[in-house]
Amino acid sequence: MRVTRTTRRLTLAFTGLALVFLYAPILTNFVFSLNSDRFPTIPLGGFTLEWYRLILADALVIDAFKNTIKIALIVAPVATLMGFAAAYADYRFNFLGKKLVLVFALMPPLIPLVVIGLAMLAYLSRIGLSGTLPAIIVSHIVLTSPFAMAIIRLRFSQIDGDLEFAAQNLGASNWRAFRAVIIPSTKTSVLAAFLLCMAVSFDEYAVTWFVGGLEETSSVRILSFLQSAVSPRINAIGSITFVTSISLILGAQFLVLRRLTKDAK
Amino acid sequence: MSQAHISLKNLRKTYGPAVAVENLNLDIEEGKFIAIMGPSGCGKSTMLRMLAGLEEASGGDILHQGRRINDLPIWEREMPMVWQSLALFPFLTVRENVEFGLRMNGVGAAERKHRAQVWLKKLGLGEYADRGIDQLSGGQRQRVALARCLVTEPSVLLLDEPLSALDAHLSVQMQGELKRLQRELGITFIYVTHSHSEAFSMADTVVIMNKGRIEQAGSPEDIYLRPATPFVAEFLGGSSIFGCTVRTRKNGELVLESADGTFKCDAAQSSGLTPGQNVSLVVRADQISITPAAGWADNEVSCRVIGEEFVGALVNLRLETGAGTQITVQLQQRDMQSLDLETGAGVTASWHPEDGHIIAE
Repeated sequence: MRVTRTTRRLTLAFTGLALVFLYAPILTNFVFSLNSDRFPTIPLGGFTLEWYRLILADALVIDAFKNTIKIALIVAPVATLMGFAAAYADYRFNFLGKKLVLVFALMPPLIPLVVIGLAMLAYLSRIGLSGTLPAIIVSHIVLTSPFAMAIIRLRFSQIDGDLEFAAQNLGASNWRAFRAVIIPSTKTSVLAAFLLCMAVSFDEYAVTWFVGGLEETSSVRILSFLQSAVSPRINAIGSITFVTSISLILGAQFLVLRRLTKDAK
Repeated sequence: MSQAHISLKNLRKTYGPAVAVENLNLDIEEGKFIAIMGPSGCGKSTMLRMLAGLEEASGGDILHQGRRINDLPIWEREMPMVWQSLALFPFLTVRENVEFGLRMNGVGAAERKHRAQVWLKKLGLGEYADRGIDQLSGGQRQRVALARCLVTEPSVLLLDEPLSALDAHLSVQMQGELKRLQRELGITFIYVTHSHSEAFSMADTVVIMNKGRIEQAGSPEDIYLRPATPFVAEFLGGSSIFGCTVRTRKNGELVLESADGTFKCDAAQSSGLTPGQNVSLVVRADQISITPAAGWADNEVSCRVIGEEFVGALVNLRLETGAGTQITVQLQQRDMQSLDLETGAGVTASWHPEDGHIIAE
């Protein structure tokens, strides 16, 4: 079909509009975080880093950031390892009920967060964990490991199923074959999964809010700010969170896409 | 008697109720080229995978120079395999791929490099040593897969349909190379394939499998001239098979009766046959003649032409008898032209009594 100039322009306009709708709020957020006015109004006031200075001086915010980082640094490795193990089992073994196991393993992101949050809260409080950092960590692992598994499984699906056996056939023991074949083949996707798990853990607020009690992560802190008062500090903390998450996600994307294009060659 | 290099004794493999390999007995002599053939699902690959240790035998023994190796893990079997998918390591260079087996067996870096280089040169890959696998052509990859196995100096090489991914021309070229390599090195090749031409052009012994069992094992000539079962005759193709009953045996001649009429056959090969017994009469396509009318030979069947296919200078003519038996006749192109046949035309197919091969059922 011949693409007319009008169609092309309309496509461009439509894509542009979609992108504006997606990113304008975030951009606004960022712009107002540097605006000296108390309220988000136009025309803008002067340039200031005041709001950033304020939140960085706020113990609650700092604690929330510290928690976020602590949680992400535990969640990402554990969830990645679990996702990897599940993906590897799927690649390597056939067993009864494998499909069922996979369905359950990939399900958590499809369950409404409120349901997970409530269920987690009910369960964790029964074992005396609710309102603690470990409660948030456990919940985040539940939420993120399916993402890790999905990314790593995608990579496994591109690996020749005979490769590991070929290494064993040439004299490599189980562990050596794993080290010589599986690790080099999957390392970028494992890193991508790691970054994505961190990003998801960074952003997650619903379940965290349910199970965290008084423990806060940065995203929960934003929510609390919003509930109490409208302050340009929200823009500042939001911008920081956004930049962190988007860097993690872009990093993950880059690793996954680079792998895919390299293989497609 | 010298001990077989590799012996399979009552080897079995079952997956639940499904039987993949059933009571397989096979002795493989050292330094021979064995081709194992059969339709897909006949158990040939399962057998090879059991040899390599990728599948556990459900019963029976695998002996390597008299030693039972059933329980050896894959990495201790020393039976490198050329995979159908080649299974080259994509993240390693050609040289690193070839060195892999040596590295796993603890050979030092300098010697590894030297031995890999020798093999790369031998297989015409010397200048590609530092390339990635994705920069090679199909034929080159094939050679890397071979080099990767042979560099470890094994006494036996397993090959699982290694040429199936190559185009016909390259495949024929590789067949020649494989055969030459095998002769030079004197190591045992166990070659699984579904291709007749590959098996018959390279192997010293061809093993034909069906439904987990060996139908026939023998030299290519033996199998071609004297198929042991109707399955083998049919699988090899190019033969016409008549289901017959033995009627009489006299004066060195055997008379058979079939739905297509009465046939005479040389009695020399028929010892042990008794009247009333059911047999298959197999006649090769190149031994059947075509005449426009009957009355010229001992064994004649009138047929209808149902198709023809050109194979270079030869034509395979497909006929069908009144009773529905399919007959294949191989003719020279010019004979075909002089016969001037059209689909549906009636002809008479005939053959000499000594050309029929009888398989007792």
